[in-house]
Amino acid sequence: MPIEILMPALSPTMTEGTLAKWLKEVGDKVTSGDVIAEIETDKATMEVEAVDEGVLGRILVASETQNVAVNTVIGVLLEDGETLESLDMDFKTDQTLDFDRKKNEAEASNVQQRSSKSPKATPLAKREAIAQGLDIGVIQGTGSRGKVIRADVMALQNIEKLEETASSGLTSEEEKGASERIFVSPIARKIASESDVDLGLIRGSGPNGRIIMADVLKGPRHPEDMASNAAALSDEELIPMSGMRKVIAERMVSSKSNVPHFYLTVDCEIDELLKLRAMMNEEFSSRDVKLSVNDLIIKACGRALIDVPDANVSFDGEGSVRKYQKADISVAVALENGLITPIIRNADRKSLHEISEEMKVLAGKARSGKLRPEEYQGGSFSISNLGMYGIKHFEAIINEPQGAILAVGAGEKRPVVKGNDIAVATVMSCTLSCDHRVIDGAVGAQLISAIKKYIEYPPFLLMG
Amino acid sequence: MAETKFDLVVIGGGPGGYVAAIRASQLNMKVALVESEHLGGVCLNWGCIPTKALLRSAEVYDMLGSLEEFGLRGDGFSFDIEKVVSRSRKVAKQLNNGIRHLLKKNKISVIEGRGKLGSTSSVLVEAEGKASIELNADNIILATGARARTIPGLEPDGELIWTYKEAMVPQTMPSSLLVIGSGAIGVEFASFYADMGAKVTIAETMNRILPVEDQEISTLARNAFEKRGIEVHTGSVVKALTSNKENVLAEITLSSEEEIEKVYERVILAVGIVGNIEDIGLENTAIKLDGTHVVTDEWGATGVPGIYAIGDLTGAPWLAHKASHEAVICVEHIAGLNPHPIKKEMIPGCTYCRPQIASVGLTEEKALELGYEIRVGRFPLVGNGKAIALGETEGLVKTIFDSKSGELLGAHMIGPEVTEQIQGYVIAKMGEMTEEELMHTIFPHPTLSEAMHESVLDAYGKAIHI
Repeated sequence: MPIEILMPALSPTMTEGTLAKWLKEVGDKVTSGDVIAEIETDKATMEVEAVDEGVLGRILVASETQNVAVNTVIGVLLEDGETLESLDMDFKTDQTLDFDRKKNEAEASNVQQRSSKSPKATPLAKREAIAQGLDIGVIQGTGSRGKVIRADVMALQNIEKLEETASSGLTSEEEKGASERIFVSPIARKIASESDVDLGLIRGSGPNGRIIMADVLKGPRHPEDMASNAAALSDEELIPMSGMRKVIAERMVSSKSNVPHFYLTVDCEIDELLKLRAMMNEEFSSRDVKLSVNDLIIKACGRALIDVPDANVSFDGEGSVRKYQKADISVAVALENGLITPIIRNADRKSLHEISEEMKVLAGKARSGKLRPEEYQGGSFSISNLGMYGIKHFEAIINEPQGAILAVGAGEKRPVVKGNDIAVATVMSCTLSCDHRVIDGAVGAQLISAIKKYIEYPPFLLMG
Repeated sequence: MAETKFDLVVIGGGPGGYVAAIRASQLNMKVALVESEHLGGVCLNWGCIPTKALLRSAEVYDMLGSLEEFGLRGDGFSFDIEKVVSRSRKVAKQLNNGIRHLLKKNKISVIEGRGKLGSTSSVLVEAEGKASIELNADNIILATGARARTIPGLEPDGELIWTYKEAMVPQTMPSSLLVIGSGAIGVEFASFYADMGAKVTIAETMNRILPVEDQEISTLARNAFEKRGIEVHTGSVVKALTSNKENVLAEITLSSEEEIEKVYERVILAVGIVGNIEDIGLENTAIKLDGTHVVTDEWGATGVPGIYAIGDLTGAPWLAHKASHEAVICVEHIAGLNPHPIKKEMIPGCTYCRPQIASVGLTEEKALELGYEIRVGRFPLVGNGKAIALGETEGLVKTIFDSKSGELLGAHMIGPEVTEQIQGYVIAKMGEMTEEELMHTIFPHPTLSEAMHESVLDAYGKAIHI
């Protein structure tokens, strides 16, 4: 009885994928466990293993076909002695095939399960992925033959990654290769060794008792300390810093100490901007995407960075300035107990709606702690907006190693001078903090002028 | 004359050094190995290997003492200590030759002499009666090993107060012996000498013997030793040793604060290890030391480019297999491969006394200290068929699991042949297996190793044989 080969689902949420490549040809013998094809989703490429044995009788979906829905029949296996002719079958790709569908669906779900039961990952890695709600299929493995080991899964945890951004010395090889000594995050281990703390004496407060940076900084627990602390704490509260808080503290100190900041302020009239925004939101209300002022500012900054490439730079260590071709903008998102800066890449080229949609998704991920490292590491410029809190003007601290950061205040009606008369306009103060090692006054001025231009003349934003 | 330019020069030819040299050669590096005394280092010549040969003699001798149990007859057994010792020396020599042959086969230049750093890219070799040689090296691995630590007041004299070296080549069997220190070395000698007829006393400053092992194992080991007639004093400090021509007077403060004086024919000092950091050229470099050990990162790098250190020289655990693995990782790292560094909790520790002890990973105490919620499995050997058939039912296999993830945090074994069995748990840990995989593994019957399986089952309430 010929056996249908169905398009497998490589993860519970996959609905379709690309059949990238057949690794068997018609007429090839297929045994159970053979890799017969490669399937691509937007997350990963996976091998499909044959569950059954037979000869590949026909390929119904060719290599490099995109948008193949899960459970589509992509090929047919013939069992011993069968040929297509002898069966007198006519295969239609619209699935009006006369086979035992239940049997094949069951087999397909076997393929699916087997793809997810045996992606190459160790048992502990699989359990950890399940515990963390992560799709193990998308994790890069560093074990033998690309196997996913537990350390790879742990490396995706947000808290740990936040700690690692503070330790700019670690390359990704070192992060992956750094040995986990009994459930210790790499940064905790580094700090422990630097400050001579015996990790054996630290109680871990991370997942599964994992020792995280906060634990090491807190130091070993001594019963005496706790007793004396108790006495002093009657009308104060001593809250241990979270991992994120510690990272923020470190980075801010470093930036303020190492980066020679200077500040350029412009007042931008945003009536036109607000008009454009309202118009677009009205026009595209069906799209369920509401543009915010910040989305427009992101685009404005993106364009400005491309216009003034000398300001699209970062400090790259002694003697080098890193100049960027792209405008990747880090946008500060406030979290319950801290903040993080997910990145909008190519902000100059994305449409306002794309930027808005992306910000929504990234902010959501940020708040639920699900940002991936590549989503917040990098960027050449940052934007911090405190306008929603009514702040008129402030100076932000540069996000090392970037060259500049824009602090956006509230748009408020202010008296302005037009010609020789006083009028009222909605004015928003923006302050650009620049790293004087890599951006001089004139260049900084050019950048903020460009930003102001795009903010005050929004039609420019829609061009190019 | 001989070659003097190398991709890698290794100083020290023990289990760290010679393995590094061979691995480097496999990776097509031009390698020189500098060794001042004997290839194979302490392990092969004055450590691991000869002691196992001695312990084998002791094991056989001990079995002779219980022939009747097995339906056999015989009496009047004795031993010739000279022959017991010479056998162990022969074993060491055979392996020593073996290493020499391996190094030759791998085309490694073996240079006899004392090596030290000349600069960050050269090694100076000095040999008595020969001109000193300078070797040019792109990379240098320091593998000079370690030696016995001495405590002021308790110095060896080479006659009656011994270090491991003298203890390995006794000319006569002492009637009484004090072993100071109850780590693996102390305990192995205590076991050997006790089996060969000496009245042995162990003095340990910590509150239990074998302090790095799990507490339960320490207790079982102590019980087993005391049953054999070995006297054990824990929490005890040997204050002074005074020797005359015949014996040694030891002043010991017991845990009860009582001070006693006892006479022993011989004393073995087994109070720790210090790295051989002297006279190898470290003074002129930025290489960091931690006490008597060289500080390195997870690949053996010292921070000075091109200079690495491995093995006992870099600190605990002082085990040959740790040195050998560090050697491979270091060399592969030098070669630009990306090996996974060693995780300490993957290194098994074995003690070859009677009963044998073997462990890997966290002790129960450590696991709790680190905040784990654990499940503990215990299987006493008395429930194991093979153990009963062998007539050796004293033993325990203890496994510790993280209840959340099912990870095998630690395994602790005491009993016959456990040193051969512990690798099963090490493999499980390396493969990141959980209790599930272990439970589904089929252990052959009848073997002692079934106790390993039952211990895992016991942790989850599923043991069949207890």
